[in-house]
Order: sequence, then C-alpha cells, then structure tokens
Amino acid sequence: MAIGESTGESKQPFSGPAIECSSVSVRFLDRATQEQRDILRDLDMHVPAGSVVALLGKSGCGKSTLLRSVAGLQAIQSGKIVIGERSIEDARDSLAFVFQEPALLPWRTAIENVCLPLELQAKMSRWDIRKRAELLLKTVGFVAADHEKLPTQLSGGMKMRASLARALVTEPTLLLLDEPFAALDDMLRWRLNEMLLELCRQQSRTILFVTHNIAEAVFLSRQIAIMHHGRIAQWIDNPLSLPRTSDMRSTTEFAQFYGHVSKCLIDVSQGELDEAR
Amino acid sequence: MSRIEKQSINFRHAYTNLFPPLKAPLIVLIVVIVVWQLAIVLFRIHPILLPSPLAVLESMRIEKKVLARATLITGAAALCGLSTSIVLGALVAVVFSQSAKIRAAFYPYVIFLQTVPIVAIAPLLIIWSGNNFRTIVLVSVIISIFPIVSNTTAGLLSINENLRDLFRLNGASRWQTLTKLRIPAAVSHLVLGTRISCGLAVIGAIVGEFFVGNSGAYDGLGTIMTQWQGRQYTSALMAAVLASTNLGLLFFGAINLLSRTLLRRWTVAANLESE
Repeated sequence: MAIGESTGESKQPFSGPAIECSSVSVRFLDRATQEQRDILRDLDMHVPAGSVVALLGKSGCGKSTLLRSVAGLQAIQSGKIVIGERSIEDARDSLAFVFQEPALLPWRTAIENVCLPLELQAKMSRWDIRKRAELLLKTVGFVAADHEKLPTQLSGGMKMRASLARALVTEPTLLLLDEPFAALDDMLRWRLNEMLLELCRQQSRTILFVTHNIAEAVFLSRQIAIMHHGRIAQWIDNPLSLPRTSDMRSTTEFAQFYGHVSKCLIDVSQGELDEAR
Repeated sequence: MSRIEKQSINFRHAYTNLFPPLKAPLIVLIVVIVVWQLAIVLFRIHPILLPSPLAVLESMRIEKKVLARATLITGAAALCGLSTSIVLGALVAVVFSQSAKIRAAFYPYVIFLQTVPIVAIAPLLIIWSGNNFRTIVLVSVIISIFPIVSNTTAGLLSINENLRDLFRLNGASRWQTLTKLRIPAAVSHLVLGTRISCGLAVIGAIVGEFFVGNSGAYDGLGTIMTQWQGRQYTSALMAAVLASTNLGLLFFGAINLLSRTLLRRWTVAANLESE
C-alpha cells in the first residue's frame, strides 16, 4: 500500500501553504502564583509548503499553544504568524483543526457532525454537503449503517474517524492536529496514522501535528521539531523514504531513526538538567 | 428524530423506570402503613388527630368525585404555571447567555424570585391580579421559574471548550453558535431544571389556591384542603395530600418520559439517570 506519496505531490500545482512564525511570544497569567509565565518565547519556525511536521517535546513546553496560535485560537503577545502569505484570519477558511478528543456534538449523528463545518460556512446546498460528508465517512471507514449513529453509540476509534472526516470535509490545505490519537491503543493508532496519510495523499496539504508518541512522529512526519521551553530546540529531517508503508515500522531504518529522535529528546532535556546544576 | 436509529430507543426501558427503583421504597411504605395502623389500635389515637390508613382509603372513596375534580383543577393550574416557567425561563436564560452585563444586572432579581416568601407576596398578587385562576398560575410561575432559569443559563454557558473552538474556527456567527451549539447543549440542563420545578409548580398552585380559592367558584386541592381543615376532616385531608403528591410525581414522570423519547437526542449524553 502506497501512502504519503511525495512524487504525486510535486505534480500538484498547489501543495499547501507554508507556515512562517517569527519571534512569536505567548504569556499566560499563572492563576496560582499570579505571575506571568512565558509559554512561547520568541519562537521562530518555518514549515515548508506541503510538509508534514511533528511537534515533539515534554508536557508544558508549548507544543499545543504553538498549534493553537497557528490556528488563531490563541492570541499572541508579540511576533507574527503568516500562513501561505496570508494572515491567520484570512487563512482560517483553509485550515482545519483536530482536537485530542473527538469533540463531536453529542446530539448530532456521525454524518450530521461531519456536515457541521460546511453548514456553518453556508456556502453549499444541504444536499451537496451531505453527499460530500457521506463520501468522507466512507473513506475514513464508516459503513452506511453507522452514519446515523449518535456519538454515544460509537467506539472511541470510530469517533476519532468521524472527527477526522469532519476536519477534512472543508478540504483544508492546512491541517493542524493536537495529539489526535492519544487516547487510542497502539494498533488503532497505527491504522489511523496510515489512514491519515492515505487521505492526505489524494490532496496535498501542509500538516502540523503535536504528539507524545515518537513512533507516530517518525512514521507520519517529513520533519520533526523538538520543542523546549517555548522554542524550537531542534529540527530533524526524517530520512525515511516516501511513500510510507505499514511494514516500514519493523525496518532497521525506522528503529534507527526512532532511536535518534529519542536521543535528541533526551539530550534536549538533559541540557536543562545541566543548566539546573 | 426520525432518522436517528429508531430501534435503539428501547421503548420498554423508556416507559418503565420513569421513577427511581421502586422496590425498596415500596417495602418502607408497607412497613410504615403497618406500624401506623398498629399504633392507632394500640394507643387508641383519636381519628381527628390521626386517622387510620383504612379511614384515609375510605375518605378517598367517599370524596372520590370532589378529589378528582380538585386534582384536575390544581393540575391544570400547575401545568399552566410550569409551562409558562419553561417558556419564560428558557427565554430569560437565552437572553442571559448573550450578555454578561444583562446577566449581572438582572440575575439578582431572579434570585429575589427564589428567596421571596411566596406566602408573603400572594396577598399582593391577589390585589393586583384578582381572585382568579390567573393569580394561582402566577404564584406557581414565581415559585417554579428559578431552577429553570439558573439551570438553563448554566447549560448555555458551560460549553465544552473544544466545541467552542470548533465553531470559532469555522467562522460561526453568534446566531449559529446559539442555535447549533448553546441551545442544543442546554436542553439536558433545561430538563434537569424542569424536574426540580415540577414539584414546585404544584406547591405554587396549592399555595395560590389557599389564598384565592375561598371565593366559592373555584375548588382546587388547596381550596378543599382549607375547607376540610375547618371541618377537622383529617382523613380526607390526608387523601388530598396524597393526591397533590401524586400530581407532582405525575409531572416528574412526564418530564422523564419526554426526555427519554422526544428529547432523547439531546439528553442521551448527559446521563440524567444518575442524577
């Protein structure tokens, strides 16, 4: 199975927007101590157009905040974020966000949930929206009988699939994912990883995702950004060949790169320990 | 509703268990009745003070027509009161959810409705609104609206952060956020509030009748209770208490039934059963 084909992408005239972050700072007021805490500190990041970038780093390093800032959900105190030469507000209709939880509306059936973004944008007829939602649900592995199920009747994996279909229904060119499969078991996570690549192969787009799972980062990404204390501490190119296939997970190259990324993560936090001493 | 998995609505479940499990409370009831009857026989309690369960049953039979008519009248008043509370309360909650300023300015007065002793303002209401059905409904509304307003407002405001972000990301308007997110999310809270209010609505109707009912043209439960109290007709009075309690239970059951059938889609995730 060929997934995440890079050759197909070069044929496309448009390969998703690049993300340009320059000296972005975000501060939160810590309610407990009443002190300002720097979450992002003069962060610079360049995500090339059409790339798949994994954000790794320990909890609290600012990964999610960076992702939310790019989505325009988090106000930044200083700096600038440009998405494919447009401001965040202008780029909003071309981006989609996948949350850690499926975040489905419990009173809407699976298909109604997938329809929601298009309903809100109100640019298409109900019929067209439904047709497109049906198609997407099919591609994420829904059988027709499950279309009309409420989220409470769906398993965790199915909910996440519906959530992914909802994100893709607007055909975004920039996809942001915040630990999307964190709550799923490894086998299911792998299957959904492959499905994600498969879905993105047909339409090229830039993907930025946060994860705690190194294997997921290695498998999905073209580049890995290791964050530390509100900055990008290290930027690693993924040497694994494209397209990615499921059996690549058991290759030596995969294991080697996995080891390399682990070492980088350890080194980055080791630096912090040394500083403390 | 029509498209949603009809077979998954287990109708047998929907109609049974409308009340919390009944077995244990039923045993308690039987024990109480037996002890009650025994106490009357053993201690020779005067029937005006405490009639026997059998005497209550007998009064129920004798006053069957009066009781049924009174229950119907009071039920109608309480139902009008409760419906008004639901409609008005939900509207107020929607307005509250739209502006923190409006909320800050008016919420204290909603609390005032909750804290004002209803018996203290009932005479005032009679002066303003007259000795009529409308006044009774008004008393019922005043006493039953607060839980609906407070619960529904909370429901409209406590929206999952991810869902709010989802609407923001898709450029949802204020109106879209209200109709497609806040209101559907608040339905289960409205049901919760209404469940609290259905008992209160009956109380309100009866209290209203205490004040209004003696004009003669009207004979709800509150009215006949005052009359029977004057005649020291204790056994019938107890039968009336039972009838009014059942009225509240009937409303409670009806709300639960509604929430499990027509409103199921909006209440299924809230898991109201565990409340």
